[in-house]
Amino acid sequence: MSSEASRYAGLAPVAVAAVPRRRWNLWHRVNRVAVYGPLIFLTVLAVVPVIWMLFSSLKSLSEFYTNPWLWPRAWHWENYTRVWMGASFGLYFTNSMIMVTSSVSGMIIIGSLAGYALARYQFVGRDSVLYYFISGQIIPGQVVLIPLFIIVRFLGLLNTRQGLFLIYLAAAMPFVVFMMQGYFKSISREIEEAARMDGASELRIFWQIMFPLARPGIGSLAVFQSLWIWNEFLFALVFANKPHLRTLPIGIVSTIGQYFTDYPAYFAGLSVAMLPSIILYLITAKYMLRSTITGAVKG
Amino acid sequence: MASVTYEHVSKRFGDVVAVNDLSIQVADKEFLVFVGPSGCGKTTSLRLLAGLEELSEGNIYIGDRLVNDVAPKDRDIAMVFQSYALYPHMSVYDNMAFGLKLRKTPKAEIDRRVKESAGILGIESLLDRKPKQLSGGQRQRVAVGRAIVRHPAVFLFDEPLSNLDAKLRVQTRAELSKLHKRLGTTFIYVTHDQVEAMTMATRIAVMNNGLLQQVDTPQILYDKPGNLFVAGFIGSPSMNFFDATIVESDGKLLVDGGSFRVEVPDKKKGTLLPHKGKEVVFGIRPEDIHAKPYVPPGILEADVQAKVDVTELMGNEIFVYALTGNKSFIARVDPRCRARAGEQIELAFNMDNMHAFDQKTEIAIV
Ligand SMILES: Nc1ncnc2c1ncn2[C@@H]1O[C@H](COP(=O)(O)OP(=O)(O)OP(=O)(O)O)[C@@H](O)[C@H]1O
Ligand SMILES: [Mg+2]
Repeated sequence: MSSEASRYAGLAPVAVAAVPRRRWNLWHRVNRVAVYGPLIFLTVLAVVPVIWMLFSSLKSLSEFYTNPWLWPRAWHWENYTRVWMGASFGLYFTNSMIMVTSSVSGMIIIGSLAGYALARYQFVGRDSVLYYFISGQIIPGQVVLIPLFIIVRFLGLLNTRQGLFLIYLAAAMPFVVFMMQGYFKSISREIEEAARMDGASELRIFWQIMFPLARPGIGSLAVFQSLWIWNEFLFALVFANKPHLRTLPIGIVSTIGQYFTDYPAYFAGLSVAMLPSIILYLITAKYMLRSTITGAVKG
Repeated sequence: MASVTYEHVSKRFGDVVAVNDLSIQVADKEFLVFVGPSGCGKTTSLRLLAGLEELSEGNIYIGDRLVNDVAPKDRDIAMVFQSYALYPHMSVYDNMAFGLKLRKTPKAEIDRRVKESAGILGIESLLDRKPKQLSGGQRQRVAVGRAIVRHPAVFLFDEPLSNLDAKLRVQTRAELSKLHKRLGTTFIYVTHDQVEAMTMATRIAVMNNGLLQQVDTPQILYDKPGNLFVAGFIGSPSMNFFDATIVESDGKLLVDGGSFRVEVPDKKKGTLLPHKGKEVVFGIRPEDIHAKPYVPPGILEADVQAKVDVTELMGNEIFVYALTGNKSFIARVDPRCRARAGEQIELAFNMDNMHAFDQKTEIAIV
């Protein structure tokens, strides 16, 4: 009996597993091609222009025309110094940084407070306020550009950082408030009630309990908004087009104007401008992926 | 230390009446359990006391103090939530210390109390962990710990054991009873599990549809349920009910269930006599039905013939699902009983423990 048992114990798993595994392998391989093929194609589509830009930024102007596709024969790193010095890149960079940090902080603070109120408090007109914010997402910024311009000029905020800051804040608010409201809704109400019974004031509940718990969502929201403002062109062009206020996108365009045909310098500028986005992405990629996934599952 | 009084308390959510005219007095140091089916208003009753819901009507007192308009934090109560509601981003220590810190308790005192409570619950070694790093049972203890560090006058529990596995639940049940004795504080506990209620409570409040059905000690609820609902809810498996008529024949008072006739014992005759000729609901618990010849001595037997439908062997006893007429009922019989499905079986009802209820009002007659 014991020998029989051990024989079965030894054989059974192998015998059972062997047949389906081969079939599964084939199916698996087909599956892999089907999934990874398009992914690889899309990755190439995204990466090739970036590499092309990096190569172009390191060529001399004449080589840029004669050898547009391949890597540079001689590496002209001085394109970068020229752009940084000549075109006040340092200034644009700083301006962009100021706009991003101030606007995103403002959005997160105001948006999270508003989102929390909409998620948790009962008050007259709450649903209308929420719908108002949701409908705000439908209207593209370009459409309201002229009235916005008139308002900003009336307020005397044309060509000021404050003006641009307020515009970014207003433009982002529908999305930010809506998302925040969702994050806070997904946090168990009992946690909040436990804190209330522990004796926490409403503000303390918000800052010490709810805000930290919503951090994954808030973090990814902050990254998305930072990328948007970092690359934002239209508002920056219309509302802050004074040399000392220019952000990077505007600065780069003005570079073209300044050195009309200096494409390598232009691409060097673009490469520098792209750097913070990429760094930010690399740092937060894992985190953002996770928060979008859990967000999707929770609905 | 404090008593709790609900005085004509009602709570409505729009059209839903979650709690309907609840009046109940909970004495100091009592372990009161609210029990009832899902949606009957247990949680709402507890949350009204906690101050997490506003009263629609009535008054709630903690001790002698009217607390209708007192904020939750000033009611001197602590609550253990069903989900435990631990702060996920804080260590166990900070979870327990949070409430004390907010009350500006001196640091040394906080430390002493957290360690003391952790000691009572056996979670000293977990103080540095985050809730994520704990098992379900450990989380449950931390939730209890967070409540007891504050030394409140009243503890509230909302189904604190429902997320534990069966074995741990039994163990934790005993521990909570012990904790209650040790702390000597009023406990108010919500559960839908009547076994939890029976084992821990000094008194049980049975609720249904927002209405308090009966409040009494576990033993009295079991022996003398006040109405049909309580009779069916307390006890497992539930009491068997038969539509029956009270009849008199040869000077004996009988319960006529159609397919069976059983005699009313002398001590219950007086109360049932006025119902002679009327329809009642006759009730008998599965444990008061025995299979012949394994009938315990000293009980007042009434013989009933039935057909076995299904049997379930439990080891120490057998659940017999039997049919009389076409009415099905359950008996918990001696494991030596050999009855098989489809066979006739001779049963004996223990008439000392019979129940009868008014058909219309569903209120207990005996
Ligand atoms: N915030 C609310 N809004 C609307 N209706 C509610 C609310 N809270 C509870 N109710 C309703 O009140 C009734 C009682 O709910 P309650 O939570 O007190 O039941 P329960 O006895 O605790 O049930 P369970 O055992 O399922 O937890 C239910 O019908 C429920 O739908
Ligand atoms: Mg409940």
